[in-house]
Amino acid sequence: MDAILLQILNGLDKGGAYALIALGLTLVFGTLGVVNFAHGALFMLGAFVAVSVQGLLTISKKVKDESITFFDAYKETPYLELWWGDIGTAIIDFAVPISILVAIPVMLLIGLAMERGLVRHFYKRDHADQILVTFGLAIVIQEIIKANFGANPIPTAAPAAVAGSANIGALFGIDGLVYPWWRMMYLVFSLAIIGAVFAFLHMTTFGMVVRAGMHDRETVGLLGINIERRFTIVFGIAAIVAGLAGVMYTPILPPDYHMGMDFLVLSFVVVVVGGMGSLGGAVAAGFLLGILQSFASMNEVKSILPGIDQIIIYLVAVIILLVRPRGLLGKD
Amino acid sequence: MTKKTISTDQSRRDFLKTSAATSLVAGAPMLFMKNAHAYVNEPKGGTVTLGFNVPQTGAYADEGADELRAYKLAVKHLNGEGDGGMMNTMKPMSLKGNGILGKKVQYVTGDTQTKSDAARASAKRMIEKDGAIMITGGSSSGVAIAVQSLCQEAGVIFMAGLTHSNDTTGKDRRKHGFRHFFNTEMSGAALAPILEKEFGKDRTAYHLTADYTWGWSQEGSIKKYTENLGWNTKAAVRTPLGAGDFSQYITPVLNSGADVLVLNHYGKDMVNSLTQAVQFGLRDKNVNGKDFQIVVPLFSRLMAQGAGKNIKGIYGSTNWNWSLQDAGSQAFVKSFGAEYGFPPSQAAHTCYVQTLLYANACEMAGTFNPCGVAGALEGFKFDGMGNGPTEYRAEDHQCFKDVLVVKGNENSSSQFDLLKIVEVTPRSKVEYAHDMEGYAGNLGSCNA
Repeated sequence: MDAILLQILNGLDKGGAYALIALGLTLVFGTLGVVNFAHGALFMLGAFVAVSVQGLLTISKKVKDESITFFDAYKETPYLELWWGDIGTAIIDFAVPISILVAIPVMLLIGLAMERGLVRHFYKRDHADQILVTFGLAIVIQEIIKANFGANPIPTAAPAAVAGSANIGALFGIDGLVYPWWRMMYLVFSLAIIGAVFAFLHMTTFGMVVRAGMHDRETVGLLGINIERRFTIVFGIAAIVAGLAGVMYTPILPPDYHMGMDFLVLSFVVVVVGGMGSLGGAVAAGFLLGILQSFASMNEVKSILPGIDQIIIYLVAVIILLVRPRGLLGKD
Repeated sequence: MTKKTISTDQSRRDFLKTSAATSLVAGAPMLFMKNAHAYVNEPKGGTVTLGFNVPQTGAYADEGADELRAYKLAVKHLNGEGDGGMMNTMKPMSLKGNGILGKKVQYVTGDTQTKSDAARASAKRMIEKDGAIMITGGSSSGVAIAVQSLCQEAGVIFMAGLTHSNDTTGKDRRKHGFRHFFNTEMSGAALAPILEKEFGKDRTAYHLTADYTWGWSQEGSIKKYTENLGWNTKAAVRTPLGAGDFSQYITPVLNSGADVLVLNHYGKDMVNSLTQAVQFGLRDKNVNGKDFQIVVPLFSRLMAQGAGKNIKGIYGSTNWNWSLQDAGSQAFVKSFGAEYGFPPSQAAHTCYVQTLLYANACEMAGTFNPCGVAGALEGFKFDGMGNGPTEYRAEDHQCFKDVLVVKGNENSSSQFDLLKIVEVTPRSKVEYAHDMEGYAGNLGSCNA
């Protein structure tokens, strides 16, 4: 029972990341009709916003390390700690939560620049052209990050207060069942973001116009509504969602320049399984595939089907597409 | 009739003589040509090119970056620049500080990307286009074995960098390949007595293993030695190299009944899996009435740095550590530290030593010909390189030396003092027969 609970929780927190990336991806496809292969790069850029904020907060003074006698070595003490002592240390400790606030405007600007600067020129082109140009853009962004931050992953820790594990067994009456705080926070955070996006689309006039535009862009345009401008903003929102998913993921996985590509392929599978353009489908498929991947990694499963953990997502995608060619919640 | 017969005999004799003379005349240029191109990439002019093939991206990029630093330092020292590093302590030594055999050393680099195909392509480019006479590097046994095999076919020497799988000098050994680094068999032999002393004989282990040659090799060696102690192996689960998030493999450990987690991961993978194992509260658990333990059989300071405080108190083995007090280690640390501002890793150490050993072998052989160099390295005994008396065993091209058992330092004296040496296991305790079951291989013959 406890093993199953753990795998479900693990699948949900993985699924949270898949769902957040897939949500933005399918939002852009549903509104602009663009297959955006640079969406994974937005996730990665979000993570690097956290890295940059951490870097800024830890700008340090070099002090000679007297314990090293073989050569001149230096210890680095952040100025924030030198100036403000414990308060400075606490601010540095909260680098990731602070990054969430910074990432919202930064990712919005990046999203708008990407859409206005490049993607809009490809609205009326084939999907193949869109894939090529956005994939190229993803590689360019990746290389810029690599040139500036190096190829190695950069550890970015969660605040010390939530770096450990929570005794969730107490809730279910199971002794010794623990789960990391930050992963549970990631799950709650992803649900909150998904909820906010759905609320925005369903409970605001802006969202209503966007949804109307997704169904029939021409008619909405004939009503005198500048649907293109709204879609541009939707692109910015998708960038924010991907970026926030990236920021929050940094304590789980130290970011490197390639992390976007690692998630992009999985997220495309999620979008396709959910149904291209279906927001609910993307979210459902994200959580479903996360949980399946988690269960497939269990020893009992791997001992019967070795290697199943690495192919389960693709296997399920094949089966679902055979049974429902338009995905789980895709419309004919 | 007789006359005709004589005439025929003379004609046959003439024909044979003419043929022999023609063959000799025609063959002579070939002999000269053979001498002119006696072996692949024979250095012409005043320089010799070495190829440094290291992971600059991928799961082992940290190690690769440090390896490259060490190679560059070795080139400096070989060319008579800098303070000379271990050239001041190596014994016996034929190097003169004027390059190799009087030729200035230059180098080309490649990115293995921690992938065998990329590493082979990179090594091929360095051999065919850049004229590299020797290839060195690694940080992944899969890569090392693939490149070693390529170098054998291409006719150049391969001096392996960080590669820990038994197979590199076991079943996949090659005449042109040499490994200074230790291997999983040695790690198992060195670690087992310490694990018994610290954790006892009644333990249940759960292995998470990188799914490629090194992971399999290490899992096999650690299982062999811990099961000999009386430990039970609950499960051995394979994880993909560079998986990133290992949480789905860690959650099953929590309630498996195991009280020891053996992480057969290295580099970025080990940093991630260890950090996540700690986040899941494994180190705070008590199972079967015992404190849960984590063991990382192959340790490095770079990994310790990446894993931060999570590494404290965790046992493992290492080929070398910068805190060693012998003259060779101190000379290298001083030289490397002055150049880069921090001490070298074990990956940097083995790569630096390998470059000097190759250069020294060329000087000993008086040639760059790989057959001569291989001959000089086989059975070569040396000291002053940081590991005490060391021997390149002729039968499998594996170096035999002392092995360090370490644990994550709980009372660091500096930012670099991350590993504490618990035991220096003598060579005699980790030595094994070159034709041991499951280890035997065939070197093949020299290809020049």
